[in-house]
Amino acid sequence: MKARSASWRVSFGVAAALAAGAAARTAHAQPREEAVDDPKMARRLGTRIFWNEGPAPRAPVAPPPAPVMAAPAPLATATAAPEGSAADATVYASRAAPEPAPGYSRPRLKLAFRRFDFVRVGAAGSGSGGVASEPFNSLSVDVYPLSSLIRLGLSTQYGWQSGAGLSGGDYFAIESASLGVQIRAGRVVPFAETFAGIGYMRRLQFDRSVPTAYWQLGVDLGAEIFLARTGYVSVALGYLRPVNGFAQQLQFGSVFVDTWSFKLGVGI
Amino acid sequence: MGPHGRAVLRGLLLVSILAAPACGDVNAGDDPFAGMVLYEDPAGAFSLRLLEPPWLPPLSLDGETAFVVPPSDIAITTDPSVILSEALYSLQVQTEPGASAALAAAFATALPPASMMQQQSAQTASGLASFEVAWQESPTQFRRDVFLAASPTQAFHLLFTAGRPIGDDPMITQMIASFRVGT
Repeated sequence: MKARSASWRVSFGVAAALAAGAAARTAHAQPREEAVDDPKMARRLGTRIFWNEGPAPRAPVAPPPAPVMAAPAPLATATAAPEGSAADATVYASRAAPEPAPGYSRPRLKLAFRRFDFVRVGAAGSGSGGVASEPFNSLSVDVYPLSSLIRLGLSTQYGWQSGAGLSGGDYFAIESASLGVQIRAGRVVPFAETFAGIGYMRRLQFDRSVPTAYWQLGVDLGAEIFLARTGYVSVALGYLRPVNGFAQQLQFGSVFVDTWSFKLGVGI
Repeated sequence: MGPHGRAVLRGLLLVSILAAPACGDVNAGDDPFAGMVLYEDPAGAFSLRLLEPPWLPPLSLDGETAFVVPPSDIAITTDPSVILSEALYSLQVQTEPGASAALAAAFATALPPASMMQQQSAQTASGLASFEVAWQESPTQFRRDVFLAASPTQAFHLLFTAGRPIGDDPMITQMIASFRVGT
């Protein structure tokens, strides 16, 4: 009687434990059942039951932040909870990696303003006895068909004598090509490029329009500073050699100066 | 040297040939008269520089030399007086007996008060003293008369005319600055 009673208690305990376990699993999720493909196996074993499938797995635990960044203070439960516990996973889930920095696009198009000093051929400078300086302003549209470490550009530029209006004094229109390097290191893209262009210049001399040729060689050092993913401002300081070619009697001659230029722009 | 090396050398040679004239002929930072044509008097009396075009080659008028900037719609004529009267700008080079400073002072004194006369003196690039009188000859005619010493007893008289005030025109100032006695 004692033995039967003991056996009964063990059976009751196992049954209770199984029932408790099943109830606990049911509380989380219903087990998934699936028919077995092989008919013989299906007759012998019935359906396949997946007991171990719980709810959707948590997101993988994120690694701690990079050493350069100060780690956020752990929650109070993190220190008390053993490693690998649910509380620990919760804490690290809250430390998910920060939003990655937006990638900046490559410079493709730019509207730029350039200012430089040329000379007014045949005119006296004020008091110096030399040739008169002639400041020019210009607007250009620059496109970069190739823009990686190496960048290749094409520029359409219109320039006018400062203080004389867009067409009241001397003016020019040229097409230039540029070749340079740029370092895409994030928000600021430093660059160095050399350029050359050729076009037309109108000289106003003694109230007569004199058609002449104009070409230029130069080097720019500057940076594109991205304000958004695809928008940037550009600043550059350049060395420039503007050259003006024209007919002198029956010969072709040219005049040049070596000067500095300053260029500002916006682009995408 | 392989074929690639020779191709690179040929390319560099071509670039250097093209780049040499592309760099320009005259540095205006060194030569104040860059781009101006030198005119030398056939008799060797003087020389000056000017932009040609728009100035035309000189005309000889009864022993004096004249230069003009014609208007764009100039009529074809061989009459020097018509050419001078139609010109946008003109320059006549004459010689007169006397000292240049005294000639300029006498010239200015003879002008009427309504001529808006202004006097100034300067120095050419060759160190020659110039005495200038800028004035208005008529409502549409302005002049700038410049006297430069050819010798102690003789002076060159440069007579500029234009349809607008030219007393401080930098392009005419540069032509005066380029004037030299002899060639």
